[in-house]
Amino acid sequence: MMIRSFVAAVMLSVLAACGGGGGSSSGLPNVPDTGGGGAGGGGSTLPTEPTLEEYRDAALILDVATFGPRQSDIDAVAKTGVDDWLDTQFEMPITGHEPIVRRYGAQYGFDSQVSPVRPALYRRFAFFENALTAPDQLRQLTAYALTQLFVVSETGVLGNNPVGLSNYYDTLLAHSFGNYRDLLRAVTLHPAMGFYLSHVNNAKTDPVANTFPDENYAREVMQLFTIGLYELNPDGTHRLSSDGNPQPTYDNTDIREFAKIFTGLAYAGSADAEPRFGRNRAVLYAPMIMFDEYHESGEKYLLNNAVVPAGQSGIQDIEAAIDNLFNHPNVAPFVGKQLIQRLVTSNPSADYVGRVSSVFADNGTGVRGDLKAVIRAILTDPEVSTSSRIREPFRRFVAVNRALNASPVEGSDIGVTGFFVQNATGQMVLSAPSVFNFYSPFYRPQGGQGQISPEMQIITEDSVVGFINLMAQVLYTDSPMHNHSELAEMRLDLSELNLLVSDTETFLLQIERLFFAGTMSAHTHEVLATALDDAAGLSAQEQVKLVLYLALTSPDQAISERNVPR
Amino acid sequence: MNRRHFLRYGLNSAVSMTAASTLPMSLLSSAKARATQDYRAVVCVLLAGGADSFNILVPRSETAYGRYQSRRSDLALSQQTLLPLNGEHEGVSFGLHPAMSSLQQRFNAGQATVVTNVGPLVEPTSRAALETESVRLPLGLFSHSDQILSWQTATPANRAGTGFGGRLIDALPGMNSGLSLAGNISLSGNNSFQSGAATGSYAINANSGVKTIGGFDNDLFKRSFERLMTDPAASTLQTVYGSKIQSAIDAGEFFNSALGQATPLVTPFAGDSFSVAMKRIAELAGLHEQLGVTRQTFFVTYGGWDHHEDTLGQQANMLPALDAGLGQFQTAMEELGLSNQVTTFTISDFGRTLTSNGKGSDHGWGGNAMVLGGAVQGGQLYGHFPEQVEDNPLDVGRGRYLPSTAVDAMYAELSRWMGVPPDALNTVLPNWRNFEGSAQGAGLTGMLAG
Repeated sequence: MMIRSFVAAVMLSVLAACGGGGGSSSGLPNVPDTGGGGAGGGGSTLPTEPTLEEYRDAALILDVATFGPRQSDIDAVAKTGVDDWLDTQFEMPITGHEPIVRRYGAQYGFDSQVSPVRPALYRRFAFFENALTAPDQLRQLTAYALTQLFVVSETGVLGNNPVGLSNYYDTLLAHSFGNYRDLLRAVTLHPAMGFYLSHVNNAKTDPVANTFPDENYAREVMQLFTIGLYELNPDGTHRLSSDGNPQPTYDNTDIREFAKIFTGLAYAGSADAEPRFGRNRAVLYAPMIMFDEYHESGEKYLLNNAVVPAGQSGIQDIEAAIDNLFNHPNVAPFVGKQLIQRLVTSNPSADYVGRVSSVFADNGTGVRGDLKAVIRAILTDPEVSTSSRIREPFRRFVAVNRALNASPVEGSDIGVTGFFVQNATGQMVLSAPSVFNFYSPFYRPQGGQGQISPEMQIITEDSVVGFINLMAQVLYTDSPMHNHSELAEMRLDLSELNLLVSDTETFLLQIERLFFAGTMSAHTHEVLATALDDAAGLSAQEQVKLVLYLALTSPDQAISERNVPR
Repeated sequence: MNRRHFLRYGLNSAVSMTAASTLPMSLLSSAKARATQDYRAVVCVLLAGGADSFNILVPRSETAYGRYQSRRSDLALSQQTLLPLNGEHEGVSFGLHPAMSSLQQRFNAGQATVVTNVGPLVEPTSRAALETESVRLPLGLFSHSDQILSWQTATPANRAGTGFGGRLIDALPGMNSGLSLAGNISLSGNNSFQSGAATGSYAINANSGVKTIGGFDNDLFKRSFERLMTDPAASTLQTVYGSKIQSAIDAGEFFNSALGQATPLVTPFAGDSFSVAMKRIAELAGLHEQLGVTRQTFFVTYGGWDHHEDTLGQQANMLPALDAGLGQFQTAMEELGLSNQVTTFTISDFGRTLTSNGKGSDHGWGGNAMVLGGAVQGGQLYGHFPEQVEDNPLDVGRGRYLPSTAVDAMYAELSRWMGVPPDALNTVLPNWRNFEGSAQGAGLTGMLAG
């Protein structure tokens, strides 16, 4: 097969389809428009078209670094290359979530007794709107990865406070390409985290009442946000003691010392009320404030023999503790490896972790914790091409809607796309069952030959079928997918695929780029091609739906990994 | 069944994937006969987050209550609200949290107990040995993610990958015919408790029941989809994922056909998610003959117990559902005539600090585990209940108690009751040999009758 000219033909036909205008009603939609048809570049400029491999690379990077490839993005990245795309993404302005929540608030109000839509859902609408349409995809996805590292969840007062949760999300967005120390500080002082890990209104030791500082944040900031349980080498492997055992990074005495650090914080309260520790209104969109009289004032012992002198202000103490943790040698491999797992692959080699970790330790200009450099190192590593990771069902759902240009049947509220998929996908943004996220970074599934696969922890007999049925619903059903009659239904746009389906190879190449990170297995390809043959009597639209239903529910598509190109 | 697909996706061992339709009828009927006489099951209720169980079981005697009140300060329940338990334990009378009326009733009727200050240990451990670091300790003491695994696996010093429930069913070969996945049924998804070396587990959604693939109505889809599952070049993760789909397909049909034969329970259950899960377990236990199982574990998580703040308020909100779910389940077992054959027990990440952080309590170690069922020799507590004084040698800080009974002791009694032969106990509980004859391994023999 003449692959290159064949690819060019595909691109031409897609461009023609995108171009609107007359469209192709001839019934032979994928016959290349040899006349050039205004789609730019005729036959003579073929050499400027990206190669098949460049298309594959584009599909792969968009698969791992965005909420899902779209044809136009694949075309663009195939032309410019991954580095240029990253440069552009790093410089994009931030698309926030809180403004969208406030827009819904202005439209429907925040009073659940009155509003036609449950206000708690606004922040889900904001998430889907941005996941589907925001141009700063890499930042949106990085922040999403961070929601699984710095977990807060829709519980208690947070469940009814979409402004607070979206403000938290925006805090992660703001620091996604910043410095890890600033991120850690912002998270520590964020009232949503203060509520979730109970260090808001955490008072110093009271010998009369026989109460002690709350240990919750002290423990989890170490176990989950910075250093983990065991001393690590820069490549993420355990630094073993002389007798061959992993060495704990801290003990319960350290926890009690750090608990003293995180005393004295309270909600910011409102300007019109006298500030009072423990009594301030639960404002969830402004950083917590320190009441030094409720802060443990004595000397405190941090990790690695650091001492915080007595009598400092509470904020000074917190800064010192954040410095102490941020500069711990574990942070680079601990955080670096988890970001690799979230974005790229479940079992990175020690070398890969080591490369990323060294960039975390020093971005090349002496700066530690530069997340932009870390993300770039993660996404441009040679191991991206051999990555293997179970796709989160939640992200598979989002990606389908992106690739197939989901839009509301009426109105413009694209955010209603997926607020209801928690049961079917086992996930919802900022709704994990605990601060330990939906899955453990150390989870090893049965039958996995010792491989780690965090996402597999939520894959059960129940959830695999739930996802298959969700795909049927998305593709086939005309009945509402959600039970909110006041909200629009979403529809996928299959028109481009309908035009391609009569040419099996062209059509499957398109499916492969959109949903298989650029490479489906030879077996999957053969099954889909055979199904298409068997479905010859169906309309183009029904053929497209059948192949999509199979492709999107296949074990091949469930894993983000590069197959051997056919 | 396609042979190649069988090989690829039957990786939880081919035995575990015997499809119902391929079972000879004689095997089914013989299994049925045996099941009728000899069914036993354990139900593991995981109170995820670390329940403050020193506010579930509380001393009522004057001196002991006074100590409790002084140590717990703002977290203390008032003495008058405690639900009295019959008898005394170690010379002290006890009561339950006011929300635990079903447990109180079952306890006083001799059908329930509480194992006190039980927790994960690797070997007999004293405070002195702890301080001199001369004893092997569970990994990640006081950490949620570690202690929750220690409880589920009973291998706290390593992460071997199997759990107590999985090994328990592994150690009872030949007891289950039909689909071996039916030996371990989870109402709360994947879990370490039911992970076995030979047997798998099956996850059912408590609310929606067993799901089947809607698209299989379309023959072309079904045929093509089944072929997608036979990729000879599938990667490890793809194979793991595919095997989950395959079990869902095989087990889905099997369970649906069994559930179709279920007689609706008369016992009413509440509508909260824990009660709904317990109801589903009751129905499934009632179908053990149809499922061809005589030994079974069930697993369900009731989460949200990490009460670093508002302990009293949150317990008052959450314990009624726990108590009701446990009580309704026991009533349902009586309705099905299975009361003596099903034993329910609670586990949790850890007990919590006796002392307050001013709002709630922090992570501890030993806690109190509830055990219910007709086989339980109840009406009395099991294990040593620590004196709640500041200088108790079991107190490793702020009222975190070094367990006085090892998890292994509780599991050894459950294993014995389930019929694990004494010589197989060390495979079910690899650390049991460390505790035999020690104080932390003693005191629970005979807790379950038969």
